[in-house]
Amino acid sequence: MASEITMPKLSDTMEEGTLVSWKKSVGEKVKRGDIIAEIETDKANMDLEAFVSGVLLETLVKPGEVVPVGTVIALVGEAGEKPAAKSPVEPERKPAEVEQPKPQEIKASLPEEEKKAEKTEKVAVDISGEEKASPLVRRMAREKGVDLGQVKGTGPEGRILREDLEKYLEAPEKAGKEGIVEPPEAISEAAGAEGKVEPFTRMRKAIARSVVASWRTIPHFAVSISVDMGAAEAMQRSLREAGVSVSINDLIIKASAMTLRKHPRLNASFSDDGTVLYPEINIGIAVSVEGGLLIPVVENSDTLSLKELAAKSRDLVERARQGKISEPEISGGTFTVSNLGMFGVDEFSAIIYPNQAAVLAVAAIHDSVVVREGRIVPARMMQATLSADHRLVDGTDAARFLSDLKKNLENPLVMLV
Amino acid sequence: MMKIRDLGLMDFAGAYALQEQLAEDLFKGLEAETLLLLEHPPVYTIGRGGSEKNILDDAVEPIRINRGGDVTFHGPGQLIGYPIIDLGARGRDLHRYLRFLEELLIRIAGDFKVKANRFSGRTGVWTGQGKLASIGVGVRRWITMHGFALNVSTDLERFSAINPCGIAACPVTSLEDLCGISVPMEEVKEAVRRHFDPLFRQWLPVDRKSAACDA
Repeated sequence: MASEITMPKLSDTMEEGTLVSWKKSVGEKVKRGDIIAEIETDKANMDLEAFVSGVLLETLVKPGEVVPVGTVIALVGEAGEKPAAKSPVEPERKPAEVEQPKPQEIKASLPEEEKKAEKTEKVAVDISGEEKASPLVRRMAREKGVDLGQVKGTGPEGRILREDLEKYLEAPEKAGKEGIVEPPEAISEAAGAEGKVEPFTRMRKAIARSVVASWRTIPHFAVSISVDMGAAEAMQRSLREAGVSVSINDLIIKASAMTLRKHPRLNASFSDDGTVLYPEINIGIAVSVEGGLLIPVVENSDTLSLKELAAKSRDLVERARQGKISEPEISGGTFTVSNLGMFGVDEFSAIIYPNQAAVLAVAAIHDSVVVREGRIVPARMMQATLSADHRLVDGTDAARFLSDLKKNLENPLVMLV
Repeated sequence: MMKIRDLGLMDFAGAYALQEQLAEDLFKGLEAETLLLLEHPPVYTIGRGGSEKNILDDAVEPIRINRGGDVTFHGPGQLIGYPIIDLGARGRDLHRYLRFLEELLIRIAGDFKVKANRFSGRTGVWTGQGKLASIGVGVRRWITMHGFALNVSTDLERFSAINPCGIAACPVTSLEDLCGISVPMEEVKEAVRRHFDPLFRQWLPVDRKSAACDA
């Protein structure tokens, strides 16, 4: 019977490890003590030795993949033991797109995001379930919404191999994949009442794509804070009197940029190798336009003076609304501000633009009363809500950011120096 | 007492061969645990899992080696320490070993009045001015290779050709930059000799049980 090789625990504090490379290939003989793989945890690489002799029957984890300690990464068995019933390598079967119903087409246009989602998601191992399968296969099945009971296993003792799952997923629609959950953007025709299908515009499709990628891969959480905008409004008025036109949103962008300088991990991206910290602070402004929204980016928002920033954002927002904005002007953002204040909303939270670390959702400034030194006084209050990627930062990081942002907005003179 | 060998300036390939030899001999019981101290002529190296994307200058051709971590630079003025030790008899804990190397380097920096610290999730030694020392380790049969690289008076310009350790625009600093005066390599080596043994015994004591199991 085949022996399972698992991701070793190389430290008390090790929870997962990266499979860097395989040192033996499938079918190759393995002697006890031979190095079969290279594992990385933190900044240390470990040559993994085989503890049994035999033949490497199957590798279940690909180089570069991160898996929890204890995950079965390979099977070693006796020579001749048929493990995977490896089907001869077929040329990749392209699903006949013509035959596919609409929702599949949409799905087919998303392969990159989906692949990425698979790669970056690190989900705890699910050890429940009757079917024999490695945690990796279970995870894939869960992500794809497949009931493993429906998949035929061809591995030892009916074990469900990655190939089995992939084959199942590739199988044509008619095979009846009851277990598969349709992607959320698909319009379910079984919903009962007949609805009229309004085809997606290109912009709508693009928005759907990026929010799905974001929602699937980024574990969002949101933290809110109340900001007294009285001083900021007063400063805006005096600037206007001096002939400088600055919007409240410009102040919020400037304050966010200054605050990000102090909190670099919110001006960042998640990657398999770690947090990618961006040297530049490029803030995207969510702008509602005909048929959707665009996010023009103010590059180096932190180094621009308030006046420069205001001019730049006015120009970008105007051109975005007129549809006269170029691709580079809406890419390269490292953080986003979304302001629905003009609609009088009290508060809301936003979805993170994929690969950014956070988005700030800004609500309306409204008349309110606050208690200051034991007295009730009127105030101009505004709610700001930060949605952040929990893989990169924790609640305390978001809270500290908001607290510093509040300080900057409540003492707006700091933005002038 | 830890056997410490000062190799002076030695090229990467030569030092690598020596490490392999020492690791092999240590495994066979022919050699004691050894700490190698040296400097390399300018060279870029990259861990097995490192990404080519972190090399910004096409002229840089890094050597891919069996350690953890991404791309980094080694050169004169940087103190390299390669401990060849048997973790199999010292608790078998890779992360603890990394934390030990960090502790050693933090103490050494402290001797030069430099406040250095750990940065959770970013193995290495950091200061307010940037990364002071890198760590990358390779282990086979629980015997360690590679180790640490401490910038004493390294030409820091050389780091601008790469994303050091895979971090874009990661600031890198040196003892000399931090102290504002020249720091002789010999004094840093002295500090290593002073701190290594007591910390080593404290952090990675011989674990009789695992030593016995191995035999």
